[in-house]
Amino acid sequence: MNRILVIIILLTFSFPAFSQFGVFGGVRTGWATSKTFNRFKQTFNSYLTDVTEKPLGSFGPSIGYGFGTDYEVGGLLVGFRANTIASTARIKYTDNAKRHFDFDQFLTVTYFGIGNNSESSFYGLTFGLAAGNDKITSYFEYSDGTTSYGSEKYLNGIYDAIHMSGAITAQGGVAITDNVLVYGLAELIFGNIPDAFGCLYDDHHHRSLDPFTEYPTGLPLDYEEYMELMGSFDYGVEDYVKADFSGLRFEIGLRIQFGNEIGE
Amino acid sequence: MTDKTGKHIKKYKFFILCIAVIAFLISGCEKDNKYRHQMSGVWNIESISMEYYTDGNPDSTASVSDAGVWLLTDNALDPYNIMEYEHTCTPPSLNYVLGGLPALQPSDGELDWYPAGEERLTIWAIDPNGITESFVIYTVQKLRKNTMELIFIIPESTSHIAYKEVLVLKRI
Repeated sequence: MNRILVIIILLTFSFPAFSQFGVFGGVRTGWATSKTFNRFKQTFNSYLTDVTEKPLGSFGPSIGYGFGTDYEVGGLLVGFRANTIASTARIKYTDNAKRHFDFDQFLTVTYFGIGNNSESSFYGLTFGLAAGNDKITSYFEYSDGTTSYGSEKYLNGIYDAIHMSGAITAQGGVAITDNVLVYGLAELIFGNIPDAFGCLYDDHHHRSLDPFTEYPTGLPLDYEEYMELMGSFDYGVEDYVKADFSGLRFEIGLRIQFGNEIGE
Repeated sequence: MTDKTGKHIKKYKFFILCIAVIAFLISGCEKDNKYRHQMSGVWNIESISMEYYTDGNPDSTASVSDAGVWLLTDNALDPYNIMEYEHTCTPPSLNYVLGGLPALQPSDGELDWYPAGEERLTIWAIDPNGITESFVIYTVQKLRKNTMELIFIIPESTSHIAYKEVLVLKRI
């Protein structure tokens, strides 16, 4: 994956340095929604309803940051950016214990579209390919406040997988000083590419080796069915939460524009 | 500085930025190695505190100081990083893994360790035939350059603790 990313970046940066280009960075917020996590959430809540004070909620709004660079040549915009978001969802049990699910997403987006860069303003409408990583860290908080990632709770784990999807972005900015702009963007992460990503698995070496605890390798899509079949091969090997976290994100930050005197 | 030189500097700035972005992305993928580096070394078990609970409330406690030494070797081969130890008091959490042995002999097999994210440290035993016998996963509560704090829990019920063990390790 690293090599692929580096190749994509190098290809992106191999575009002429002789055009208008900008570098930018800022903070972002937005939602991380997942059909498969919702299925896990519903069945998980249903199974535990008798011992639940507050059921497991959804992720979001998430917070994070983003940065990148892009170029404009003759009204065509091409660029690369990277961003993260993070959020937490939790369930609270009647005896005050909690289970936490920390979500982290890191995405790189290589994009192209139409736009205009100048030293006083810019705008763009782009489509891109998002590639990165979705990760959920699940840990338990006992009623006395002690948190555990240990093996005594079989849902404890760090589950992650490669994420690939599309990204549509509308962005714009205005100058606040020479060559420095305030920018804002709205980005829709959508349409996770089927079969290009897998389930969020915990690759902990011993999860699959322990014959006694029946650790799930991921977060089961049907928690009730998993609990009934515990350890049975009848439970589908692909029936776990997938790297399909998408949603609308917003970002604001600062952008530095470099004019076309470069390389002239 | 001539105009030409100034333009070249601007070009270099651009490529330095590219290299910085690439380095950032690559560094993000090296975290597992980072935690293994951080956890490896020679550690003195400065203290073991053991708390026993009844109905979710602490019932009795015990603690041991200078309980021994762990050598966590960084073989750069997760999960096969070799662990050696010398205990004056074996942490109860490891009793299961060690099968009650005060020290593991080569004929008994091998003890290995690895980090699983920064939050977990796993110690496991392999018998001479290469079969995994047992393992324990600690929660890494604190990880500093010279200090590591591990927690091991046995639950009494879904939400209550029956036994909690805290290992405080100091780098030698």
